[in-house]
This record gives sequence, C-alpha cells and structure tokens, in this order.
Amino acid sequence: MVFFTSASLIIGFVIVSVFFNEMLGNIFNPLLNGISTNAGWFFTLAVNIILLFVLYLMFSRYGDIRLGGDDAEPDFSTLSWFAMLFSAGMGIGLLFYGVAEPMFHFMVPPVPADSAAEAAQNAMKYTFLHWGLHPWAIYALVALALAFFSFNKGQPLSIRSIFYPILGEKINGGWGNLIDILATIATLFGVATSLGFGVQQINAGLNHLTGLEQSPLVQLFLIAGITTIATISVVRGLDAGIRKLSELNIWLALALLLFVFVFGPTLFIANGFVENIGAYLSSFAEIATWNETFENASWQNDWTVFYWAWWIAWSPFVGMFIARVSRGRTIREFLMGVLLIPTLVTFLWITVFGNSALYIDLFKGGNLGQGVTENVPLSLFLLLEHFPLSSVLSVLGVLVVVSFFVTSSDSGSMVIDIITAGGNPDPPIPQRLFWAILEGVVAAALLLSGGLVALQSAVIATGLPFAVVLLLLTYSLKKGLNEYTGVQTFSVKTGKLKTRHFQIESGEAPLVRFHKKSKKKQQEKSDV
Amino acid sequence: MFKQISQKYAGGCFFLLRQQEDVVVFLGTAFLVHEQGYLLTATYLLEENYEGLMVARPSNPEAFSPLSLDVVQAIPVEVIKADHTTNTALIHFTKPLIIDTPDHMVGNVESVQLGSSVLGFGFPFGHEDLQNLAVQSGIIASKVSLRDSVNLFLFDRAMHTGMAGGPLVNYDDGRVIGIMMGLFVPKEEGGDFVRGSLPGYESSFSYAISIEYGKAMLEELGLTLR
Repeated sequence: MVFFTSASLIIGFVIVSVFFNEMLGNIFNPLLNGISTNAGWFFTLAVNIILLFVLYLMFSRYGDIRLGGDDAEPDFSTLSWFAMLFSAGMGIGLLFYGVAEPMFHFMVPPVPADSAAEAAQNAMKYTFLHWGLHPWAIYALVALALAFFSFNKGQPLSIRSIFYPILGEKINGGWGNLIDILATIATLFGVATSLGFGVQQINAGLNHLTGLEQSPLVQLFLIAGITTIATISVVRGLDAGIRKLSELNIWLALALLLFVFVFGPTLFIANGFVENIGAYLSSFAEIATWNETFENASWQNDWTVFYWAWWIAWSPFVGMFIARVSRGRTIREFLMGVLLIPTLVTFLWITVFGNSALYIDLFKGGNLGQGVTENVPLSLFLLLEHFPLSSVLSVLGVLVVVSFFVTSSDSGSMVIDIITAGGNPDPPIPQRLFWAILEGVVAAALLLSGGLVALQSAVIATGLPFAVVLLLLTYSLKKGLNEYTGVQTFSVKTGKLKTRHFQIESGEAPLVRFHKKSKKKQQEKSDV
Repeated sequence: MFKQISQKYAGGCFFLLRQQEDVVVFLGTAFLVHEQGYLLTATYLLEENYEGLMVARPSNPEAFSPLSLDVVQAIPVEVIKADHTTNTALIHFTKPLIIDTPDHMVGNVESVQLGSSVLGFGFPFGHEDLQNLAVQSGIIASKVSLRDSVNLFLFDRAMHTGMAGGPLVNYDDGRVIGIMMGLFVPKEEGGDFVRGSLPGYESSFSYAISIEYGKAMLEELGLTLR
C-alpha cells in the first residue's frame, strides 16, 4: 500500500513539476517566504524546547534505558556508528557552507560590528548556531523516538511508530499509511533535490579545476555515476555498503581537514576553535532566542529560520537512519553520540575551513568573501587555491563531495526502503534497486526541467507542520518513557466478545508427572 | 520493589479451568506472556485432555475479595503446544481479545544467582474452592539440570498445589524466570530427580521449570518477546 501509493504520487509530482515548474514555484516560494516571516518566532521557540528536552533526557533517569532492551548489544562499533550518522546527517552541507557561511556573515553581518575582528567573531558564532546543538537535537529527538518505539515497544521501524502514543492502534491503519507515504515522499524529494543541486556544485568544481564545461549533459552523467555507486551501496546493505562508504568518507574528510589545518594558519585555527566555542556558549541564550524583534530586518528569515525549517524537514529521514544504526546503545550514550560529538566535530570543521578563509581576508589581503558570495559552490575550491598542491587538494575536495553525496543518497534510499517495506530493517533487494534508481531519475528530471527550487521550497515548507509534530513528540516520548520505566500492568479487554459465566468448583490437584521417559524406564525395570 | 512486581504480574495471572457441562473445575494457574493472547502453564495440569479448557481471573486482585467465588467469567483457550519433557505448555485464547502486556517480561535464566529473591504468583488454594490470587516470596536455593538437560530452579518455599503453572519472577529485574510446578520431591515417581532418595520423601522446597522452554515455543511461532 505505502510502496505503490508513494511511487505513484512521486512519479505524478515529478511529471507536474517538469511541466508546471513555474506554477509550482509561484505557489511554494511565496509560501516559504510567508512561513519564514510569520512563523520565525515559532521555529525559534520550538527548536529551543527540543534542545532543552533532549538535554533533560540525557541527564535524567531515562538515560539508562538501553535501546532494544537490557540485553541488546550495539550492531556497529562506535567509530562506524558515528561515521554513518555524521555522513547521513550533515556531511555534504558542511563541505559547501563550511567556507561559505562564515564568509557570508562576515560580508553581511547579522548584527552591526565595530571592527572586522568583531564581525569575524560574530560570523563564526552565528554559523555555530545554525550547525551546532539545535540541528543535532532535532535529529536526536526523532531518532530516539523511532528507536525507542521500534526497538523497545515492538512497533515497526517506521515514521508512523512515533505517533503511537497519540494515535494508538490507528497507526496500523489508514492514518499510519498516510504518515509513511508523506515521509517517503518528503525523503525522496529531499534527497533528490539535494542530489540535483549537488551535481551542479560538483560540476562547478570540476569546471574550476579542469575546465570541464558546465552543462546539463555533464550533470546527467554525474547523477548517473553517483546513483550507480549509491545503488551498489544500498543493495550491498548497511554493513557491507553504507558503513564502508561512510567510513571512507570520514577518512577522506579527515585527510582534507588535517591538510588545511597543518598547511593553513594552524595557530589561528587552534586559537579560533577554543574562542569560537566560548563565544557561542557565552552568548548562547541570546543568539538562540534572537528574533530580530527590534532590528526590523529579514536577515534571520534568510538564514536562521531557513535552517530550522530545513533541519526539521530533514529530520524524518536522518532520524530514521540514525535510529536504524543505533540499536543496543543506552539513551545517554545515544544522545551524547548524536548531540555532543557531532556538534564538536562540526565546530572543528567550520573552524578549520571558516577561520582559514577569514584569515586570508583579514590578514593576507585576500578577497575570498567577494568570490564566495558570488559563487557559493566554488567556495571550498577558492579557499584551496591558497594552499600548496592546490590541484591535488581540489581533487581530494571533489572526491569528498562525491563521497558525501553518495552516502546521503544511499542512506536516503535505505530509509525509504525500510518505510515502504513496512518497517523491515532489511528490505528486499528489488525494492532497494527501485528506490535508489528512482531517486536518480527524479533528480535528473527536476534538473532538466528546472523544478529543483520549487520542490525544495515545498520540502522546506513542510518544516512548519512538522515542527508542531515534533513538539507533540516530546510529550509522547516522555509519556512512553515514563510508562516504560514505571510499573506496567496487564490489560485484557474482551471488547465485543461475549464471555460466559460459569459456576466454579474445586478440583483434585493432579500429580506432577514430570518425566514420562523415566517413568517408562522405571516400568521396564520393574518388569525385569 | 515487591509491591511493584506484584502490581505488574497480578493482572496477568489466570485460573486454568476445565468446563464440565455448566460448571468449570479449577486445574491450576496460567499466566499471560504475549499480547497476541498466549499464556504459559504446566503441561501436567492439563492431564493430557485438551478439551474444554478455559481461563478466568479475579476482577481486582488489589481489592478485598471473597474467599470463594460463585461464578467466573471464563474465556476458552486451546493448547498450542504441550511438552512433557519440559512440562511447559503454551495455550492461546480462541477468540481475539484486546491485550496489553508489560515490557521486559522474560528474564535471562543464566544470570540468575543463588540466593536471588523471587516471587511466585498463583491461586494456592484453588483446589480447595478458595480463589484468591496470592504472592509468595522466596530465594533461589539451587539451579538444577536434569538428566536430559531440562533446567529448573529450586526455591526455599513450600508451595501449594494451586500455584502450579504460575510465574516465578526474579526480584532483581522483575522478569519471569520460571513456571512453578510443585513441591520438590527428590524421589519423584520414577526416580526423576535424584537417585537413591528415600521413597515418598518430600522436601520443603518447591521448583519451577526454566522459562527458556516457553520462550522457545513462542519464538518457534515467530513471536518476539519484549
């Protein structure tokens, strides 16, 4: 039911967006603008509530609950686990915005600054806000709810399961199907639009490096290549495919990070890492609740609110994937792994790339800011030009981008596979093939027709209703955890079944005839 | 903790009954283990006659109940599997019911240590026409493996016949580790337990068969236990 309906709707949507992309744009772009302007305060409030709730769970008695029950053991080593959740959760965005976002905020400051140094510090602070604790708290909440209701309460590993405390048994009927269909469509379009934008960016990078022309044909080949690798990965399964690629991903990214750190302004980066975290933490309450109330500007709509909606819209996909790989961990371990460690690694990445770029503009008379704001996809490569062996480094950069794209694509397919297989964590191979290929086909169709922007707006617009759902989820997860740790009792209801009443009588207690075989032997013995 | 475990299991214990025309006769105790309507009990209570089996339970074990009930609301059950070697029987409601069971019901028998506190649940005086649910505490006195590797727990309390078929629960984690069978008789009929014991000698220990056999029966049906 979920499989066929989702597939039909997706194909229908794609046809509509190919032929009527302008009309879709006219609907969704104003809708997204309206949401940002009027519901920005709500997003700000919601993400802060979610973060506080997740921190509360981490330090509460619920932290000792093991996902999958007391006897469950982790399916993956901590390194593999972390590699997978990081690759699915954020990887690709960081590659582009690690350089671009600090430079954007440096060039167009969110708040007035008296000096370039203050503007740079503010730029890092706001980038940390967008990529720090809040997005990972959103992912952690959805992932934890999915893992808990699936592994500990016996519900299918499907988005419908997180609605169990609210909808009860209705999740197994039409309501549950509807939820899963929406989640499937949102995930596929989210991944496909990212794939479409991503190949444009890879194409820009290759053009910068080798002069390869930027054309739809090249981009189609890139989509075909990425989809092929992702399909192989997803068919090989979580352990043989996705895990290995994610690990490769992390090693490649680490190599790039180390190179920039060692051959870049090492001391400036090291100083900056500590200072950026301090600045983020010291002004955390202020910037996390800032709503541009007195500025009468729209900077926040374009950045902060966009990010909150974006992370929330992606949370079913990333949350589902994180849940799938997190069985066997305690809630405390899970939340530390999903909230704190990725946040720190993200901060390290942004500091290494962002501070390096700022250093060039602040102290080396460079003009990276201008170049980056003019051409975001090129930002990483523009930075790498300032390093020794820049060509080799840029090739490594392209490899990391491609690798992160493949892992986002294969984990997206895996999530859709699981949902459309009724929560089966190991879905059948033909189904894996179907979704992985469809993802590439949708990306290609949208790229050629120009429907990417409209569809991306549509996906992000779903962030608003889902923010409401996430707030409800905090309530239902708390309720579920309370019941789980509290005294549970049996409930037996006969419903419409008519039962008979009988007079009860005592009976003679039977003798324990425990061991029939021995009794026979005994008989044989006495016969002898 | 005793109180919490008692609250947890009291609602899952049933009278095991057999219908004989318009009356039902008490056989022992059975307890619910799965939300799809599966119960466990002791095979010997069925006396190899699987006809007319029913279960019923007291309305509210927490309230003061009359010593003897006049009538009970009984639900028919069928035997899914009854193993004579392990004395474990899996029974099932013949009609669909709306059931919710607690999480963490089945324990790990390997990790149970000597001296662990346990609680048994059942209807001790059911054969004497007294149908009150009772909770009995004790400690694990010994872990015994019979000749054909059937595992059982000895506990230091003499249990009454009506408790047979009820759950034995580990105090440490509140999970079921066994199905109560009866008084431990070192020289059981046919010399089952210990060779060379005095004939007819009864101990003040009771025993419960390990829950692992009941768990295996459910898993054979493709059912997972939370």
